[in-house]
Amino acid sequence: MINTNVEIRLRKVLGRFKRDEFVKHLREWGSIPSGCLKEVETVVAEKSTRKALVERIVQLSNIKHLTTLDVAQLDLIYHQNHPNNRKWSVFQLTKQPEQNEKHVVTSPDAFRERLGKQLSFYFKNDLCLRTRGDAWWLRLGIQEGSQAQRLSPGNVVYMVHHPHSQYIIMSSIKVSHKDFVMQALLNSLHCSEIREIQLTGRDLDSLAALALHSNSQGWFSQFRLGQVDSNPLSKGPSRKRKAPSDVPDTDVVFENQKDKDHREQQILHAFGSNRQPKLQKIEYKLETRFRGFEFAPAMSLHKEPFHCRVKFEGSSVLEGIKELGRAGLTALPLPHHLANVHSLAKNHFVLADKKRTRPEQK
Amino acid sequence: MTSAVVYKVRHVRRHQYFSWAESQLKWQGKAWPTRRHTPYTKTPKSRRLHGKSSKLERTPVLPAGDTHSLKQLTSKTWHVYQVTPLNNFQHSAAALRKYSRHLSAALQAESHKGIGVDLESEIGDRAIFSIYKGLATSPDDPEAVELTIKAKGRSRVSARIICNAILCSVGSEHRDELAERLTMLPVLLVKGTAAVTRYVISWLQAQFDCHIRKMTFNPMALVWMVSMWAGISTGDKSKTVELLYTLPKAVEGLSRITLTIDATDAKTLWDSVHDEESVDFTADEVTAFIKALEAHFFHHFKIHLAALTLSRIGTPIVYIGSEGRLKILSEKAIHAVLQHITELVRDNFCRAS
Repeated sequence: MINTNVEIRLRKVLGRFKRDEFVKHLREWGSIPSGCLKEVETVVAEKSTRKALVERIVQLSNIKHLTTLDVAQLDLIYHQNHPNNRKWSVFQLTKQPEQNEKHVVTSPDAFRERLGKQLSFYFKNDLCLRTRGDAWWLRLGIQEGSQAQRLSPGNVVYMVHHPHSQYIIMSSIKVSHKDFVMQALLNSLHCSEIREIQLTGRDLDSLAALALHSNSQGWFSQFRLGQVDSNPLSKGPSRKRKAPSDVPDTDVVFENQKDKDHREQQILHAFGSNRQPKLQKIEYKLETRFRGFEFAPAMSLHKEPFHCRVKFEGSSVLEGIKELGRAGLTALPLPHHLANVHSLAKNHFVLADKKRTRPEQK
Repeated sequence: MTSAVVYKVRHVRRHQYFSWAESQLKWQGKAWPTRRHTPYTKTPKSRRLHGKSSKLERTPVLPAGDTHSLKQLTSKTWHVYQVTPLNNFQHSAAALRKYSRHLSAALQAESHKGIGVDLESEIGDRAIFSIYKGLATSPDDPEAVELTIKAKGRSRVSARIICNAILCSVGSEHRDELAERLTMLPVLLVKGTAAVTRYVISWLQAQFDCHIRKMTFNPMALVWMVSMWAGISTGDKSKTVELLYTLPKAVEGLSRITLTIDATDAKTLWDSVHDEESVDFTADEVTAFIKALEAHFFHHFKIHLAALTLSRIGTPIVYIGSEGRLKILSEKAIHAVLQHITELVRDNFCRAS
C-alpha cells in the first residue's frame, strides 16, 4: 500500500530529529495543521519518550494525504540543519560564453521543473528544492529498483548550488546513476562541462567558502569580512586602563621573544586572523626524487621518483597546521602547497618534480 | 623600589629541571631524542636478517606431529600483553583440562551475576585450554598455550568464539635460571571483547600468581621494527610501508600525519643504507633510514617529523601500533615477529627488575 510506504519513510525521518527541533521543523514543513502543532508542543514539553512523540506526530499528520514528496521535503529540512554528517564533494561547471546571455536560470522553481523533467528521461525520481540563505538545496530520490532499494539511503542525492556561481556541491552518488545525473544537470543549468574538483570534506559551509571565496582566504579574509577599519583615524587612543596581563609572574622572561614575534607575524600573514575553513583531510601524492640523501648518500644516484603518500587528518586540518607553526614544529615560512591550501580550493594534491626541458643546442 | 633592584629581579630566569633517566623511561610524547636508546645486552638473534640464525629466511624446524595452522594468527588484530612467569603451570593434558573446568565455572558464575546482560558484554560459557603447536622454536621455549572462550550455543561445537588468547614464547635464548615451578610464557596475544578480556586476565593473574600488563611499544622500538622489516619484499606490489605520527595535544585540529611509502621504494632506500655483506644490522643503519625519511618529508613540508610521536608502523609483513596492537599479514613472518616481541618483553622485565 502506498500509505504504509509513506508512513515508514515518515517514521524514519522523524526518528532522526532531536527533541528540541521537532516543533521548529514541523512548522517549517507545513504539512501539519497549526492546531495540531500546539498539541505537539505540549507533548514535547511532557518529556515523553521520543518513540511516543513520533507516534503522536504520525497520528496527527494526515497520512492519507501525504505523499512521498512531502516526506522528502521533511527529510531535506532535516539535512539542511545537519549538513555535517555526510561526505560532500565539489563539482565545477563551465559555461560556454555564447550561452551566458541567452540562457540564464531565472528562479529556483524554474530550475527545479527543468531538472525534474531532464531527470525523468532517465529514471523515476522525486525532486524537491528549498532555498536556505542564498543557496538552493535539492534532494533527489531515485525511485528505481525494488521496494527495499527505493527506501535505501544510497539512492538519495543531496545537491547544494549557489545560483550564478559555477560550483555545485553533492553528496555521494552511486556510480550507475552518476552519468545520468550529471547530464541532466548540464542540460538544466545550460553548461557545457561539469568536472569534479579535488575538494572533499564533511563540513558543508567550509567547502562552500573554500570554493566560492578562494580569492579571499587567509590574509585576505579580513577584507571580505569587513574587519579593516574604513577610516584609520576613527579609533582614537583608548582612555581605558589596560587590564593587567595574565602572566602574573614578571620574573619569567622569554629569551626568544623576537623569534616568537617573527613567527607569529609569518603565521598571521599566511593564514590571517580569522578561523580557517574546516577540512577533515589533506592528501598529497609525492612523485619526486628522493631528497633525504644527506643521511643516505647512496640514494643520490637514484633519479627515479620516490613514490609516497602523505595524509593530514583531523577535525580541522588547516587550524592544525596553523598551530603547528605556532608550536614550533615547523620551519617557517611553510611551503606554498601547505600554507595556501585555503586559497587553492583543493585538498588532494600531486607533487612532482619540475620537468626540465633542455634548451636546443645550436 | 629603586631601578637597580628592578633590573636584577627581571633577569632571574626560571629553568625547568628534568632527569635524563626519567625521560628515557617514560616516553610521554617528548620524543625529540638526541640520544637514541642503546640496549645493554648483546644484539639478540632476532635482529639478524640473513644468515644461519635468521628467523626470516629459514623456516624453523618444527617438532614432529601435527601443528596448528598458523594461518589463524594472520590478518587479525591482536592485543599484546606482557606476562610475568607463571607459577605452577603445567602443560600436561590433565592439568589443562583442570584449568579449563576452573575457568568455565568461573565464567558461568560471572554471567549468572548478571554482568553480561546484553549481548555485547557476554561473558561466555566455556573455556578451553589447549597446546598450540608450532610456535615454540628454541629448546628453551615452553610450549605455547591457546585459550578459547565460547559463548552459549545450541550445541557444543557450533558455539560462537568470543575470545581467543595465546600465551607463547618464541625463540627465547637462555638467560637466567628460573625456579622449578615457574614457566616463562611472556607474550599474551588476545582477541576478544573488552569485558571478557579483562575477566580472563584477572583470572589468570589470580590463578597463576603472575602479573599481566599491557605491552606498549615506544617510538624507538617502532622505528627499529619498521627498519628491520621495511626491506622485505613480499612480491606483492600493493604493499606499503606506513608511518603514522600523532601530534601533541597543543596542536588542535590536526590529529595525525601518515606517511605511506611504496614497498619497492622503501626497499631501495633500505638497501642503500644497509651494508650488504653483514648479517646483523646496526643502530646507525636504523637511524640513517629513519632520518633519511624524515629529511625527505622535511624538504617537502618543512615539518619536523622527529618532534612528533610515532604511534603506528606498517610494513609488508606486519602492522604494529604503539598501544600494543599487532596484525601479522603473512604466515612466514610469524616466528620472526613473535620472536622479536618476546625479546622486547623480556627486555622490559630486565629493565624493570
